[in-house]
Amino acid sequence: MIQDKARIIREIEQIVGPKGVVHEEDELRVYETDGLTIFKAMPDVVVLASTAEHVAELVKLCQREKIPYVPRGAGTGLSGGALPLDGGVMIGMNRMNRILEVDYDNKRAVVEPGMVNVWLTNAVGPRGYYYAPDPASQIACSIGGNVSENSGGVRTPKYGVTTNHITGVEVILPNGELVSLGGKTLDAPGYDLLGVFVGSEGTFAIITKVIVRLMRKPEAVKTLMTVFENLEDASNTVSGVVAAGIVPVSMEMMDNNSIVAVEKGVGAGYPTDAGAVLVIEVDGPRAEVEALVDPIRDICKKNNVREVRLAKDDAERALLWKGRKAAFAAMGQISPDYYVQDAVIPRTKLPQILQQISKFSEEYGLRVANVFHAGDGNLHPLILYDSRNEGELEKADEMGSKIMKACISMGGSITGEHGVGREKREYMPLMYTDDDMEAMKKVKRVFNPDGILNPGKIFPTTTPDVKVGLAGQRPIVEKVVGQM
Amino acid sequence: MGQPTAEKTGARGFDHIDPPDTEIYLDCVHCGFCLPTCPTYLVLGNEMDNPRGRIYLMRAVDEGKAKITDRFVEHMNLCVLCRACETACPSGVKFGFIMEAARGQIERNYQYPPKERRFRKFILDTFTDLGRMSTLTSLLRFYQKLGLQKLARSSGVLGFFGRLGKMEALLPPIPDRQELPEVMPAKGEKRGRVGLLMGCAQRFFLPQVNEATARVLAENGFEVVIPKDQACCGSLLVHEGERERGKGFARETIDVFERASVDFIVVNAAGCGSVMKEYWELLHNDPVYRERAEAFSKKVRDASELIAQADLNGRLRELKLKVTYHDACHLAHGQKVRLQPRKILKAIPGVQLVELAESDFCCGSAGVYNLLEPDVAQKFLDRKIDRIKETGAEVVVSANPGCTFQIEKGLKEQGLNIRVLHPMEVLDGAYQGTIPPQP
Amino acid sequence: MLSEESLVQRLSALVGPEHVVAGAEVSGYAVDGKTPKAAAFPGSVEETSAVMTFASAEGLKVAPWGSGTKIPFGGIPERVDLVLGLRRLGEVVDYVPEDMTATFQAGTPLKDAQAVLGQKGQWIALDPPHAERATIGGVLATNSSGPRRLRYGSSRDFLIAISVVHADGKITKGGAKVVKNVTGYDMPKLYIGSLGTLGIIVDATFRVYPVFPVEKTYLAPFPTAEAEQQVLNKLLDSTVVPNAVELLNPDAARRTTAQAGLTWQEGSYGLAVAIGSVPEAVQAQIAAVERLCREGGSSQGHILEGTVHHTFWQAVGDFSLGDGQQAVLKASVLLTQVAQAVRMGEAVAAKAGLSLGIISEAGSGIVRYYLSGDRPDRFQQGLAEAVSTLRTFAQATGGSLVVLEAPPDVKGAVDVWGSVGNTFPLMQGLKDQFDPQRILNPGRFVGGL
Repeated sequence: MIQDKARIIREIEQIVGPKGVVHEEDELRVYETDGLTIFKAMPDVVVLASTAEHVAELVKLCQREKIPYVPRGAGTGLSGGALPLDGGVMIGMNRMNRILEVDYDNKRAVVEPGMVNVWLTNAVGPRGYYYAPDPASQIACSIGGNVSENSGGVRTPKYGVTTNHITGVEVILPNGELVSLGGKTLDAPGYDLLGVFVGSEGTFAIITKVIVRLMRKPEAVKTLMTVFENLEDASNTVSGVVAAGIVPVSMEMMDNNSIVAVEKGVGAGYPTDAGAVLVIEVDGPRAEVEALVDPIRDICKKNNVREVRLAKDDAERALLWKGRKAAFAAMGQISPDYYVQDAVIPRTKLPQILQQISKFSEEYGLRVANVFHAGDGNLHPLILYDSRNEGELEKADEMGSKIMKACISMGGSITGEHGVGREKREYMPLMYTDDDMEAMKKVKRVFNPDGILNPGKIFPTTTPDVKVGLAGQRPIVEKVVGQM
Repeated sequence: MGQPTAEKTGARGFDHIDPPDTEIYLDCVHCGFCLPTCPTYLVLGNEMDNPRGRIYLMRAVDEGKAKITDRFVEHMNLCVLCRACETACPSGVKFGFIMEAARGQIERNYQYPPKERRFRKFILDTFTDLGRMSTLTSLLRFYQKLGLQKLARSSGVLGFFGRLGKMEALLPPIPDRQELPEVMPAKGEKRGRVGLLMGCAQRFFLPQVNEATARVLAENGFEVVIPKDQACCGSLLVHEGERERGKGFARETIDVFERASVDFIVVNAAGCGSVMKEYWELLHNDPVYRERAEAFSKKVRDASELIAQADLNGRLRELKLKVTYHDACHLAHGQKVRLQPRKILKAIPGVQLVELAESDFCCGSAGVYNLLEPDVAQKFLDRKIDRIKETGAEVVVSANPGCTFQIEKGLKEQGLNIRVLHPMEVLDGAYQGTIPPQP
Repeated sequence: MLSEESLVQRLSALVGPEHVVAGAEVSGYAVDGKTPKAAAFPGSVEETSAVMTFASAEGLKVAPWGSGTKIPFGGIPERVDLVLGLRRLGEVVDYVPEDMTATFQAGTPLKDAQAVLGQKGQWIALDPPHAERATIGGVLATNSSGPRRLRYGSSRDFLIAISVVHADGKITKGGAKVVKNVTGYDMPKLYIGSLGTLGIIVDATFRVYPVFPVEKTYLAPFPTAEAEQQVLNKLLDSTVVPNAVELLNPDAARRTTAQAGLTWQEGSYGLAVAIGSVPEAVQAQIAAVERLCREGGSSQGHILEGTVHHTFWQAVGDFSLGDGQQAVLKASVLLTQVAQAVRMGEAVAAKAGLSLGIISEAGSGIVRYYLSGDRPDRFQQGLAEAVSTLRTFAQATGGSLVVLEAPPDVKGAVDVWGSVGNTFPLMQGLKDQFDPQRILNPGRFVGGL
């Protein structure tokens, strides 16, 4: 194997140069996990691509040698989507991180996949524009990852998710061919390949360019931090706002555990004795925004709000959001490990599911910090555990699956924005029949016929047509099946 | 592989002396928020060269899954210790502490190749030994004045000296030193008695900054004590993992300033100030010095931190200057001092402060990083100079001698006529009516 | 091959004899002049599945049919054996106003769906042409949209779940009835605009929106399309949030304003900007739009509200030149190229001696050309030229041009869809996977799929 691995590495080095290759175990280790650390799997080689040509050559090499390969962006994903389950080659996209073009008149920007989400908004902000999807990890996550996972964020109730803001991608197919799906214009004839590509979790092709929509910044923004004694009052407020026909930009909720972690971490100004904080933001033309604030206040009052604080300036607004967006990352303040869930429920089921979660928490003896996108019913219960304690990880895992099942039984989804990846593949049958999944696999077969691109993801059974691993040595099927 | 994995701990790869604190690295939840703030990651683009990856490597060694290998050492040493990641980290990981501890482990448990070892020793010994520094600067002044520098630079002979050649390039023209008095009286109503740390590089290469600092402090009502027996504060050693030697200097510094019985210890070099504010951590296992170190650290202030606490005293004259401010890592990230120097600059009539994009991105100086890792440091520097050019400023203000040398070198390389001054020099200039002339 | 008699018999057994049409009556279900042997109207998803299972076993070529408004879309079918009518699938499957999601069967007229939602102050944010008659399934299968896509996007932006009967009769669903979901691939998008060539849409779940308290329109006359382009650029660069920005050439402006009972200065181009919000915000933004228009060289415009507002937009949606042979082309261009696309259309139409109405969803870069002519020979040639010229122009910057409607003989002479470049193998692959026997609308989609 080493003999052959050496040959492959030499070939790879000829493509990207020696500084783009990582292959010694004491360095490879850092690539064995992403933002979801409960899964670990080490690639045989990591290749850091700098151009689309690099990617095309690497893909052709992998195809020729039947080596499984997986793309990775910033490694902030929360479903194990960038895990190299079968060893093989990992293609790091983080060096392709430039903004290639900003076209204000046509409201588009062209960027490389490794570009960090927030860089674009930083770049176009001074000219009055922004890129709308803003996952909490936007200061670190890359746009290629966002496209792959169809990431959400806190603005989704009004502005939608990544797919609503991508008008084109350029990708390298597993046969090494470069194709463009969509472009700067809308309604490309033919099947909506772009539509089905966004959210395909890196199982169709490797993205080398992304064309995104630029949005004009609104005339006015108002952000209200509303404080409640308990989650139920806060949940009812969410329903009240929706029922009033208001479409806020965001409605984000945090429970006491989350509030405490965030306050320790970034000091956003949330009251640490509150049962729940609900951050509501509205934006748009000034007159519209001003007309919305009082009705929202009234709905809050009807639901026993303790305090409504209207952010007085951009700095205070930014701090309120910094707190919310740091919520996951701040969990280190109150727990050594956490396991985050991403299930979605119809918004009206919020109070029920929260009761369920708290019941599970008692049953398993594990604390839960609830952070969620209440505006679209996307929950993020963070199950807090300590992996050093025997059996706690397993308990967290089991509790997570109970939460998912409860959400499905309420008509929801197992993942709202993090993706299925490795983590939730066994739960796909909770939502889809074999026929439903077969329809999806048909699409995958069109893009990725041999299944060597990012194997072992999304579907509960792994692709049986992957035969061999790195340099013909690694029996993949047996290994993956053995994991099941 | 690929299954939820509970960590199994093997034999630890670090020894028992000051290992990186397990509790600190367990705070890391692997979110990656630190990545875009890490200069080495932005330049090198490797997961091993960002804080998340470095913590992962440390943890692997600590848990006995990996050893202190060449690669491990390379990635630990490539860290500039700018601590920008600490500013970004929502989980509050104290990265600086564990990195310094990891370097301590490397110093003890890793055998550098002989040439590398000699070079590191030379650099660290020289910059922390006042006698050697004094000799060195005298020689260098002589060398510069005779015009040999020009000759040597144009002849290419410096290339033979490798990284030492690069070090030479960093040197600013060395001015003649004025002796500062041991005590400088306060002007007007006395607000306190402060001790001034002279620093090593500052004292020899930028003595004018110490002079300006002392005058500004006096002007603002502080009696300034400048203990003659002060030595190196140990910061370079601590950054580079020579923690034991660093502790010696720390104890000595504490002794000196205790004897001076001052209200505050004022530092005008960000790297020194950052470590002195953390003597409590360095000496937390020392039963004799633990409490004294805590008391000492509480008294340490960056010069601008102390000055900006109140309105400026004295008559400020107009300086017609367009300036930009570079956030030294050890001030912005290490000490969270960002607003104070800006406040001072804005208070000076006629000074127009233009914000520098990526102002807190490391310039590549990072203690002696530019000597130990010159290639990577150069990339940081080029990026910094590009940002400076965008501002159109005539003066870059920097509160750390290492940054000052580094940025001056970068400006010189590109033939830019932009001065680099310490905030205290600019403020002193406002009191004098003019900024100091180009040496 | 089955005889017509046994075909009707078999279909009758599946859907009931009263829901099968054959013989002379079936000529009403011809697609581009190709008359099927029969039309069947299943009453449930299961019956739809049974019909497809049967069709696939017998190799019958199937054309799905909603209300027929979009039947002229696409290329000429290779063969049509069976029209699968979905008008009986008209149920509201699920509607929870508080969750703002609603599921309808595919045969439901969009208008009926809007009426149900309207009772709760909500709507599906779609205002396609012929909105009075179009069905949900047809609107989705043809990716039909209207002026308000500027604000809300098109079906792909708010269709959250779908059920489909496949060529072999299997029923599958994709997506979920929640507003945010990334479980598995985004299958609903695959079927939007696929013209029934991958499967038969049987139900669809939408994320719905609250209806605005008020919507008004500022309609301004401009001397040139270029002047409108300048105003469009400024408007899209401002903080005004329009629901729609529509550009009309003089002919289209004249006809639509006449229907709404407005006076219109002959020869003027029209720019219609619709604003929806609370009354005070509508007023403020209409004023801002008026200011921009006046600064950009428009003469006094109209503020449309109430019935006039409604009639005007309906006239835009149902626009037609009304005489002679007709064709509708749809170009997608960059936002900054709209005026140029209008000019090019005018030039080719003038050269070919054709009448031309242009209605452009200018804020989305969509330009619709309505062409007509009274001499069939010249019409066919003129249209071929128009397609070629306008397509070359649109494709030069990554855009496209498709023929939405045209007489069959004209369609036979042009490529209705245009090239899809090197994405074609992927599309062909999808067709092969989903409909290996090619029984669903064969020949009507891109590249003859």
